[in-house]
Amino acid sequence: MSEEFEPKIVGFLCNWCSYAGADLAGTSRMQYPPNLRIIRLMCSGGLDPLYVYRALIGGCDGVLIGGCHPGDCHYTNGNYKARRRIAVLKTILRELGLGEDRVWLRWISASEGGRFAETIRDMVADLKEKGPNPLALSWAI
Amino acid sequence: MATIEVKDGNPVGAIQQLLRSILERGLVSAILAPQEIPSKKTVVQTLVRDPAKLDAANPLAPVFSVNSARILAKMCAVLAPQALADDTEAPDQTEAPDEPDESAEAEAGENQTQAESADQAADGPAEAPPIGVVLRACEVRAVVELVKLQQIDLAPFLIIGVDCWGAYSVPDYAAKVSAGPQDGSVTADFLKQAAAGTLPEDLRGACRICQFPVPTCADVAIQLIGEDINRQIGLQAGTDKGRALLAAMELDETPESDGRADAVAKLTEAKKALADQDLSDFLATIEELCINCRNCSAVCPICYCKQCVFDGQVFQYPLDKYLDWSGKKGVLGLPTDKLLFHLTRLSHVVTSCVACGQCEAACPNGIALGRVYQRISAAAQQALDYEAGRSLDEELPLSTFREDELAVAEN
Repeated sequence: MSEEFEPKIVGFLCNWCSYAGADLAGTSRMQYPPNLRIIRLMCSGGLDPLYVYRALIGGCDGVLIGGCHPGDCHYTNGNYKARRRIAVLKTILRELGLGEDRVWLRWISASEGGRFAETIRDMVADLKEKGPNPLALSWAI
Repeated sequence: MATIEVKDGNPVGAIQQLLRSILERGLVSAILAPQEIPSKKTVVQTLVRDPAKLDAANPLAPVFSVNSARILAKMCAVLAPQALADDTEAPDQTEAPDEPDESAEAEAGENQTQAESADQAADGPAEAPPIGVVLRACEVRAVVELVKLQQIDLAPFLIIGVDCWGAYSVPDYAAKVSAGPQDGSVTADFLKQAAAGTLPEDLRGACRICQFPVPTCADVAIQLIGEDINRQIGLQAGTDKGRALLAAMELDETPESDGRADAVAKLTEAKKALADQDLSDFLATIEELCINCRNCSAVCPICYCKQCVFDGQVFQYPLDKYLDWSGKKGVLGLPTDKLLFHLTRLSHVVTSCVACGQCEAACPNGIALGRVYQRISAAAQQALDYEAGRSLDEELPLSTFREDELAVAEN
């Protein structure tokens, strides 16, 4: 059963670093599992937590938020603000027992195609161990 | 610390006399204070300009119907013509109250500008006496957050904060009044129990576990906890405005009572013991009991957006979308977006939530939201090294950052 389960991951990637990192992984023909659906943002700091909740309630098994390394944000400090917002989001999910460890925040630069591929491999392995997101079974949307 | 004497063991009367006296002397232009309605079944906030009309004022009544921070925000929503004229010199200020959209959060760095202009206004020559506003501790904390969210300008107000042991819900209070209190009034009964250190068990959910019985940042704090309130009540000025008021009143000076700090610590410890509540059934509770009426948002002092994100087009779906969701899940609970609404509202308000529990009081199906918000806001504020209502100088946590922090949030 656990071998058949293929987790669905929604990835919110910033245009300037993580999305370019994903691009590099692709053009470099690096292999990583095809479980990720990418949504490109201009900045990780522009992600409304609403969309992370929407993805989790809608039944996706994990959410990846990718941004520039601290200090490298194209907009100077959007990633620092994202980090605070995601810290709050994870606190809320943790306190309510809704699986804050299904949400990953990771800094991936435009030159880190290898790190991007590795992130997806790690995340898929982790989610396969966790199994399907229980929220997918709820009636909620 | 200044003190006022309590006659006939009637602290409410002493506070009435104090409010009447500062209004009569013209130290304030009006008093905003809760007054008992003729049937005595609840109190409502009133704005009083005639000192003779303060006879039913009762800031100590253990009932909490509205978080008055919302009232102050509403009073600040329309700028007076004079304020508009002043603003031509300080353009930063004009936009703030008119555009309380999400960008206000991002632009909260401009607070300082507003605070400085407010100071200048206070120093101006044609200064009218402020409106004295009598608030319980959590209301003062909500006011502090709304000032930082640019929804309240403190300049026209003088905040008189009152120590608070907690309160009953409006229906519970009314029932107690109807049942006939032992000592003449529900307030007297309650104060007797509070002084004895045996708080009633049927307080509002949020009050039972409140960790902030003492007002912070008030211009003047009325101190009751740890005092022998049948003999005297303490008054402590927290700002220059408050010091000026107390100086003009020429009150007796006494050193702070030894017992106060201990009494406050004992009270919060006792309440903390009741706070730990398992929230793991939240999802089920929302799915079963929430009807998406959004009353919790309507009464929340911190939920200040003029138009809620959930009112937008994004949350109006074509019929196909419902069928699509139902197809994917097999069964779709209706109305939609109940859990999403609560999680999003939590994300929006927990950093400034003062755990006043009005959300819980407003819920028609009795979802224990007050306790949910108390616990999550405490955890979130602790993670960001912030405490809602603690200080007017601390920046809102989501509009600032430190470079070296929160590695725990990264993966």
